[in-house]
Amino acid sequence: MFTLTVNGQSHLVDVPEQMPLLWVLRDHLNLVGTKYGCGVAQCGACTVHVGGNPTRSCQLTIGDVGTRAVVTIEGIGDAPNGAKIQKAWLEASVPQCGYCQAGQIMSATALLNSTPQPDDSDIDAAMAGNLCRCGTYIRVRQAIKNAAAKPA
Amino acid sequence: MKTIVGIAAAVIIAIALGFGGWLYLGRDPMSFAAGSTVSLADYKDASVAGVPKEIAGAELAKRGEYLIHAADCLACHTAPGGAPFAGGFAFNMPFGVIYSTNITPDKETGIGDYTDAQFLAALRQGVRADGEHLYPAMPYTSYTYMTDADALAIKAYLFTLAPTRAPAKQNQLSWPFNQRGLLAAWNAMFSPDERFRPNTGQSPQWNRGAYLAEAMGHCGECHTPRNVAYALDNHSKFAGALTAGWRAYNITSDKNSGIGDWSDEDVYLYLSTGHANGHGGAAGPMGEATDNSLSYLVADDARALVSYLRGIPAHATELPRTVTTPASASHKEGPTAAEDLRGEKIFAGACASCHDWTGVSPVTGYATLTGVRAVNDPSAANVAQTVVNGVDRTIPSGRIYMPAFGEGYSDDDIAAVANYVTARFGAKGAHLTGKDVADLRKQAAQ
Amino acid sequence: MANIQSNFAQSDAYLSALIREVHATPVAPVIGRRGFFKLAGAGAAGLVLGFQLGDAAFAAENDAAADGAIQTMNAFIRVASNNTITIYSKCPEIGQGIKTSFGVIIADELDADWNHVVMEQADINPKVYGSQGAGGSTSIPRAWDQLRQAGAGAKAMLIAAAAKQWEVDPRQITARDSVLTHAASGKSATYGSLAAEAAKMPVPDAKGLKLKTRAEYRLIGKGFHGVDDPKVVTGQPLFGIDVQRPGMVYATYTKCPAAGGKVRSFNVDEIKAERGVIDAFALTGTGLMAEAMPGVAIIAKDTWSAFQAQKKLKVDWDLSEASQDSTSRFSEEAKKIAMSFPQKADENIGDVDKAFAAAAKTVEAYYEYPFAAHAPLEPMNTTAHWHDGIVEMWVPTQQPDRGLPSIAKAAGLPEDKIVLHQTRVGGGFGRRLVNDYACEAAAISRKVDGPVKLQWTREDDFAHDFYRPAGYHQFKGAIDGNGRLDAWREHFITFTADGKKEASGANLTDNIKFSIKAPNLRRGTTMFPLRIPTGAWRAPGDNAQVFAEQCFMHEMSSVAGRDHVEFLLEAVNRDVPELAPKDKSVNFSPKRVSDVIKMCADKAGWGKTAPKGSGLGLAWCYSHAGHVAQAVELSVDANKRIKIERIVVVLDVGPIIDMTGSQAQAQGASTDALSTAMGLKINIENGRIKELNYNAYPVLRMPFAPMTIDAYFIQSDNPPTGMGEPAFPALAAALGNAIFAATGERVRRLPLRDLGYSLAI
Repeated sequence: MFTLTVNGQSHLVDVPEQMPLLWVLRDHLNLVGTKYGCGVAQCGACTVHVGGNPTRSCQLTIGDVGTRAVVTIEGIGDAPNGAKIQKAWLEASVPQCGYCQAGQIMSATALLNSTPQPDDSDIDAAMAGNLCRCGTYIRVRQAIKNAAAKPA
Repeated sequence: MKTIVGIAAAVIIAIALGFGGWLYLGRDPMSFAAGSTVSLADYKDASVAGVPKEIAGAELAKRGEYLIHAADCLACHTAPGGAPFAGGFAFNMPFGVIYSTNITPDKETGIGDYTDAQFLAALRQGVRADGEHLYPAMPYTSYTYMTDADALAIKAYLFTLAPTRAPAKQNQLSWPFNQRGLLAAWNAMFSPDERFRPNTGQSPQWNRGAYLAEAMGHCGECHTPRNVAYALDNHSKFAGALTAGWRAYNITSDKNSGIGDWSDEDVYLYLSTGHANGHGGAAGPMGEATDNSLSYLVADDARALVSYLRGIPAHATELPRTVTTPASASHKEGPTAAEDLRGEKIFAGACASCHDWTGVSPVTGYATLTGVRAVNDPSAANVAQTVVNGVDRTIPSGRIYMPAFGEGYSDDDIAAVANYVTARFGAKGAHLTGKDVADLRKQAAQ
Repeated sequence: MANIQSNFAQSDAYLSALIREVHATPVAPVIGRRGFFKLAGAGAAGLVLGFQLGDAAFAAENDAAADGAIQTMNAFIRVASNNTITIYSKCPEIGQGIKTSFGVIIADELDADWNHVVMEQADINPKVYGSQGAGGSTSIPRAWDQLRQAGAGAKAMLIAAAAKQWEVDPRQITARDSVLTHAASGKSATYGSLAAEAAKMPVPDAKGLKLKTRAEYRLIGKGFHGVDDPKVVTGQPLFGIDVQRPGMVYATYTKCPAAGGKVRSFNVDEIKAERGVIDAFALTGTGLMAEAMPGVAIIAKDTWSAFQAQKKLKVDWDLSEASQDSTSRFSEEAKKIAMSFPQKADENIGDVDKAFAAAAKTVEAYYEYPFAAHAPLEPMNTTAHWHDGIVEMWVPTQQPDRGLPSIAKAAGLPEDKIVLHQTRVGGGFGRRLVNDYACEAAAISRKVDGPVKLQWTREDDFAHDFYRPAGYHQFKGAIDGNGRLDAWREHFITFTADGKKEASGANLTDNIKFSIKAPNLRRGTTMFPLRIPTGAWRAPGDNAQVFAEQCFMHEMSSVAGRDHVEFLLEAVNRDVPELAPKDKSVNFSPKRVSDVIKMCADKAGWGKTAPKGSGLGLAWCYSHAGHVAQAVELSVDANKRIKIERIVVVLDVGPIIDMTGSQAQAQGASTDALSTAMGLKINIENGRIKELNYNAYPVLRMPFAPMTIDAYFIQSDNPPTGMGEPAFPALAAALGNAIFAATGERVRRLPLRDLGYSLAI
């Protein structure tokens, strides 16, 4: 049994301690916004925030989450930077197939949290781990800059 | 004139003899230890050889199974994806490629027809059943210290296996190395052909460790540098060497370049699980040694190994002292030299998710780079190899996995990321080129 | 993007509400949809306005609807009394933006208020909707008339109702933003208020409807936000993988790593004893790779347990019919036979031998490109539920309609016992034109009590793709005394699955065939037998063949000492009657090609002097009914690192429906093409795929992606065609030509990383 705080809500889950957080979220908590893409931390589709840090939930076991709070794409809009990024994504019409975008948004929000005015190098560093098979990178970059340009 | 020539000749001969003698003296792996040795039969303190007491009563083959793990025969006698013990594993030497042979009990292609005496001769003298010499890629100069009983227990275990038909692969050696007869001379110089002699000046635990390290685990085959004749140079015992494209690290007691600063517990954990927090994990050949061999040792045996390692004299090498403080959380702080930019971008995409900009993994301690010797090795050999080959080990608590990037990334990119990683998380950045990575790949190729 | 139209409210409150609704069921209640089918099926097959309104079953359902009166105008449109208009998108949304574009087309003819249009995914009913696939960039051209008629027809019924109510001449009623107005009497009413009466009006004849001219469009051509974007950015359930059903269990399905292998046995007891495993069984499938091949299903309590058990699975495979294909062997063999031109020519125009003998100059070159995987980010999956004599399925597919028969076969049921729900698709690229994973799920569901979600691992996805086939081209060309393209000889080495014709996606495309207009032309094909399945991969055939053809074209113009643009324009406008498309419906036009080439050259600054180490390359293609030119400006350093300075893409796909979406497609396809040309390849040895995850298959990442891609559209009056594919094929050729311009080195093999090239940062 593990107690897990996700998007401010506490959950009790009965799963093996080796189960990655990704599958706890998707299959046991019905939070399917966090996506499975590669299972080896190479695509970033499963990115969530754990203790405020962008984290690949396909690699982090439930046993290693500990008491750290988890925020997923379903909850990130409750935080100012999350909402700002989501709006910027809508305004720039970033998504194509949309599958990677939850991960992109989680990484981008973490970037704004740590670096409110990111330059291209900051964007590369924060976003390089998020693959987009459709090639939306140009708009992802633009949306991050747009969000950063808006008042907090 | 004659005199001068004579003196010169004498000097040359003296130097040659001296050098030869020096080489010869370097062959004894345990000469560093103070105390006098006795024959095993005369040593009464403890059972130095054989299996631990837990399985002392088990049947012969079962004991052989423990010992074959301890002697780590599997790793070299199995080709990637091939049948266990059926041989075919490639050793890439500077003078060509040697393949391990089939040691399953197949009568035609394996050792099914070997008598006990033939098995002992092969194992300890490097002479196979037909009288030909084995190449010392087979560590008979280490196994020579093994007792008859242990060697034959291993044979008994091998003979319980299903025979696999697997003819030996043809070695690819250049002349004169393809002349097996020359090995007789090499053996006269470097093959001691003697059994383990306990040291009465050392503890029973140390002696057990020595037996496990030297007669069984043959640690020196990778960790001890080789001399001009490609024999182990125990003047620099366990001081580290590059073997098959991977760096086997300095495991002497030197505090900077060795493991003198590791706690006993960390050494124990590293040996028995292939990982110790703050020191990283084993990959490549050491990962295999852990998974096929060391992890099977009972706790007392692993601790005996620790005790033995602790007694190895410090031998400082060029490996700088390991950096144990994490790097900055910001990619902008730390090395940002122009030559590293490509490495940084590749790291950002393929590596930072697990290793983080700090080097302290947000997902698993196994992926933490801070304190890992590979990233503190300015040759970056193991970093490059790990990037190329990945890690895929299964330990009792789960799977340790890192994807292999060798297929998807160019030598140039792997060099860039290895240089970046060593600069950011280690003591000193490497300066690998794409060609260096290509060479490393070749050395480790199967 | 200031003029982007939006159909979702912009307020924070709305966004917050969306964020809270994450537990919403991803699909509408089953019963309602089946009622909808039943009703829809009652209409005349193929007729757009096929609903017999007032059907008792449907009326009852309307009454039961939570928000009161919703009137179904036809299979595409429902109007609620609050004036909210629901439009059903019949084709799958795979990232090409069709759900938005279809809505825009209908809403424009309907004169609906886009801000109160809700887009929904239609379920599968080809009898009502006609084609419901998404492939070959055909959704727009196929549905163009049908959707406009649906909009115009519904509007006509609304007008008829108003005319009757107001007792005025319907021709005097104007429609705008979901409101009808009769100016003379000052009467006006919302669509919602008229819907109940409108539904009783006679269904107009589709042919008699007057459709808008381009000048009358209010929505078409503007920029739109993707209609699902609010759900995408808030992580709401949308995709196949997101489907959750009460009591659902999870499955993996393991097939032989060498395509075609069969299960002899597996460690069933060990697997069943694994933690979380409910059941494990072997299936023989239908034996067809496009349906269900033999394999082992593991059913577990959750996905992770199924994945863990799969890792422990040990199958004894019967490899007697399994693939032993080897890509390294194919490459060697192709190179060996390339110079032996086949006896039988597929095309033989004029006399190439004579032309070569008389030529001022001749050029020979050999090109090759590798197999490629689709690797969409959402791994294959399907949820299936065997209940009440039917298998109900939620499938992320590009081809649900064509999948029905195969799925029914795999399930061992008649087609009418399969109910398919479409989900959003996390990337298509042609992979999901094949419904193999849905067939597997259907077969598995028959042995499972309750709903089951089949989830492939990423490794399954790479190992069991329908790959873009490799190809090898040996060219010889002749330049005449006037520096013109005079002869073209091509030996195309490709693959066959059946020994008769080219494997799927392995044929030289028609587009290529009438794009190269040489007065003397000879083409011959050699086919290697191939067991590994191949298929359509974004712009099938064109995606790699255009690279070979258009780079060789550049070799010709270079050897001729001609300006490449001039040379291209001259060549494409050459009159070679034998090369004209036979099929009258093919819209290939040398004029449209010339226009995109000229505009592309102009926008890219063709003719300007490039600094040393820099170069500009240009290529064109006619692909998937689009006329496209692409230009790449780059520089190359001593380490063969390529700095992309600029990418220009000019397309004529007729009038643009959604400018924002079209630009996204142009940028995305160009980025995809750059990624593929630089780094992507699949190696096969002993029938097994070597690249099994993204670590070995380096899809372009952000730091290496172009900062901008400039897309321009020539909006001709021709009917609109699709945008999913045309911006892909010419990019690699433009890239190769630019590298030559910059360095003098020809690149004749993809991916370019095999030649030591990489993208600079």
